[in-house]
Amino acid sequence: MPFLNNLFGNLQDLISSWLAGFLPQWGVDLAMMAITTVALLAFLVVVVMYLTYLERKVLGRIADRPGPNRVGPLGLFQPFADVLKLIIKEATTPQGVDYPTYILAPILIVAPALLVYAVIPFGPRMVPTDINVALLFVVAISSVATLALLMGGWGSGNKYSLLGGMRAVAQMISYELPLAFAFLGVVLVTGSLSLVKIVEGQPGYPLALAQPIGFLIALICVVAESNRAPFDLPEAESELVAGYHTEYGGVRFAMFFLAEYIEMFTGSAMVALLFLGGWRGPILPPYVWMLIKVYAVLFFMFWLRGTFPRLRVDQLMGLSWKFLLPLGMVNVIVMAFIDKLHLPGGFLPGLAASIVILAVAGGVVRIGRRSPAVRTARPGLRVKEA
Amino acid sequence: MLRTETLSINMGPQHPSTHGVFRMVLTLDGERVVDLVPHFGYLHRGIEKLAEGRTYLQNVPFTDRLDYISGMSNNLAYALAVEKLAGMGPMPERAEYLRVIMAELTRLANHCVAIGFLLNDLGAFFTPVLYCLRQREYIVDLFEMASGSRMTPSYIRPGGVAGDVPPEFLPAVRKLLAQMPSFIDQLDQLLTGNEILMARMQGVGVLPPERAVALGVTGPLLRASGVPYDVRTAEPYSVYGQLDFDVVTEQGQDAYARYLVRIGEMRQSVRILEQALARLPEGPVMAEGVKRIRPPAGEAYARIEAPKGELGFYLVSDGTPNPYRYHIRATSLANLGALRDMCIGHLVADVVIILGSIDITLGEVDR
Amino acid sequence: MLGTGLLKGLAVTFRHVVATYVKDLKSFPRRYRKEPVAGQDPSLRGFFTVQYPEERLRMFARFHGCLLQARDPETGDYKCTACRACERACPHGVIVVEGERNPDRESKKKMLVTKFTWDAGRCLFCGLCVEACNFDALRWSQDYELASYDRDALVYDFERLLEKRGA
Repeated sequence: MPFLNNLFGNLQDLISSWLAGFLPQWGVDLAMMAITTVALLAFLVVVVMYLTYLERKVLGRIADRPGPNRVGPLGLFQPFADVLKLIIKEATTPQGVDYPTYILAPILIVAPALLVYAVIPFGPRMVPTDINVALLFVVAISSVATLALLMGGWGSGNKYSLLGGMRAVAQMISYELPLAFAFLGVVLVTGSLSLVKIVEGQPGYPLALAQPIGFLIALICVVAESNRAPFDLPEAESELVAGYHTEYGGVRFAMFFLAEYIEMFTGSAMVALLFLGGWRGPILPPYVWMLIKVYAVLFFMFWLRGTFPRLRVDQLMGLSWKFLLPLGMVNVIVMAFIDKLHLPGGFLPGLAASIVILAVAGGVVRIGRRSPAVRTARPGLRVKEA
Repeated sequence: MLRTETLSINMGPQHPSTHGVFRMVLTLDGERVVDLVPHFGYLHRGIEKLAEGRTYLQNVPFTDRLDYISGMSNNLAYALAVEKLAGMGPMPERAEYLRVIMAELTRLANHCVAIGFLLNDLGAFFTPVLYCLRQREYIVDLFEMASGSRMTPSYIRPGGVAGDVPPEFLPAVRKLLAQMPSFIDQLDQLLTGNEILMARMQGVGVLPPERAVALGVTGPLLRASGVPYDVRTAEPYSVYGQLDFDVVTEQGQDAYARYLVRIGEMRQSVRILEQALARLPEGPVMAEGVKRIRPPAGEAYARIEAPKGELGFYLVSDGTPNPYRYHIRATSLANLGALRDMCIGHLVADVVIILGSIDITLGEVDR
Repeated sequence: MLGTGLLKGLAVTFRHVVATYVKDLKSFPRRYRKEPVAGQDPSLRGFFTVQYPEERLRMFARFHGCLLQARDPETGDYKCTACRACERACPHGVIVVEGERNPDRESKKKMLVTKFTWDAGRCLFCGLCVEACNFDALRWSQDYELASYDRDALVYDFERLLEKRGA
């Protein structure tokens, strides 16, 4: 189905040729940009709304219950009900806030999350702009969200929000480094930072098989970046400080919520593009494959949320700095060797090397747990006699 | 040197994690707990005073509402106390076996709730809770079959049990027992080896055995500190002396050990239930002449191994149909004495876990 | 291996997800159970929740629902004899009974009930009154939908408690 396969490319040609009938060239370009932006934003907002619905359905099914099924057939209008509730809520502004910071924080957290989609391709010609440093762009722009978190926490004028915000920022920063190392492993193999070229430069098998450590690190970091369970202590209810978004209500809270889910979608899209082969696949059109892979990663994230308890903040940071970061570094070095040596067997050398590295890492962790230095460092742990 | 101040935080009566209306005033130094003062009494209903105006039989429904998660156990302790006070002889065999069956089913239900809500506090988004509550539904359906009420059965009375179980009860218990071990295995598989759980619960809330004994702590809390004390073996009541089971003890002293003790106790309960079902005799379920209980003047104290620990009832009679004084030795209240010792030095996020691992019910603490 | 505990946990939850879909497909396209069951079967997997009010569970025979004043099946007359045993048995004083002598000297009923109120708002639903009744007049029904918007509407009088004719 050649028309469907290149659906957006064809639509783009149709619309621009229609517009060229009555607009000068710069007008056509401007109009195409506007149409693309609006279409992309609409798609994102609807997708994210239904992501909340899907999450609740999946979590419900994990717990032997159907999830929302009352509002509309199969509960499909539930996201509209949620959005309506958030919009009609009263947005109170507490007294001691730093007004500019307080108002800018929700805006600054959604804007970068949406901006990233300018470079994420859903198919070979389906990307608003294909710049050749797309990966760097994504990582850099996602870090702006960290600033917005801190603004939210500080601008609230509430010392507990500030603490929660600082903790969230620390978490996000510490998980960006291993993520960068995981991405670096893929960039080594495909040789480019442009996301379109990364997907095209991949060998015939998904890179998750050749670089399983990178895949694992990327998955964990993507979950931690968007403050999802099991890494959601900064915003948990049973934690004393309710986090950086305590003082926000109504639409402002909806912005934080929206940003979290958009970041989830971005993270899954990045993992799907880099490790699962992007839009490549037989029979079905490329954007369908891309969506299937993104939703598979999203299902994994929902699954994690439904199964695991939360990590405490110090354990979270320890996991990132003491485990994921060294593992990522070793992964990059080993993958560089394997790539330059041009070993035969497709993904097998990478897979074998990764298994060896994981076994060594497991052994190191086990030895580390038994050492007396670790045991006395833990609070409250009394070394038991006999 | 930097002069730092301690911060006083209130984990108030309404809180998504405290198991009922319970208030803790924490004094923090940075993130570490330096002092903890519990405030309770928000659920005080005056059960002990109300009992003085009612007959011994009319008090039975009030005992249900003490530890409302495990209704039958409270009934049992009260029934034993009244029988001791009134000097009633041994109960009919069938009644004793039915009492044991109900008590062990209650233990299973209570541990399901305890483990489920501990994991809820840890942040596993409702999944373990719903699995455990689903299991508890089967057990509570059995209570409804026998007594008519799920949570407040008033089934075990002084003199026996209120009535014989309907004919569909025993096959339903057997069906449940056939499935229960696989449920406990599933819970084990989901939770026990989970690295995140172990990292959160190991080393948290350590209670050395000497301190536990000194504070009067009983139940899974004591047994997780290595002291193998269980009222069912120390002072056997009902027919526990004839049944064969192990006292589950762990040496870890922390929250993880308490979780393991509860899982182990669930398995032992299944074992006891199978034996009790096999040995259930026919016969009457109520002792003769128990219509109006008018015990002679005196006092009696009876205790049982309730799911949360040692539950005791102290009754003083002055010859009238109403008790003169009625005091409840509440398990959760005694266990709360250990809360402060266990929390000092830990982070705030751990306090919630420690409270969850003690497993309190405010109905018992406040009476 | 490090992480096996986590993987085992993931397998457990995944099995539950699959089980709910299997059960859904088995009963497709009928979404709700047709026949109410009493109690649920421990050996079944899949959805556990009951879609109330389209599906309802049947209560067990001894369930403490709403109180009911029974009628004698032969004569159709109510069985209550205003003996006040239930009033004395109640721990809370929730039942108030008043009776008067039956002016009809021929009938078997010695006393007629003039007032019988039951305050469902304060009742413990413990069942001591039902056990105390010597004439099998006071019984439990299986009705649990007793909620009302008005606290006064929770005080049931004799007419409301009386069993329907032919029920």
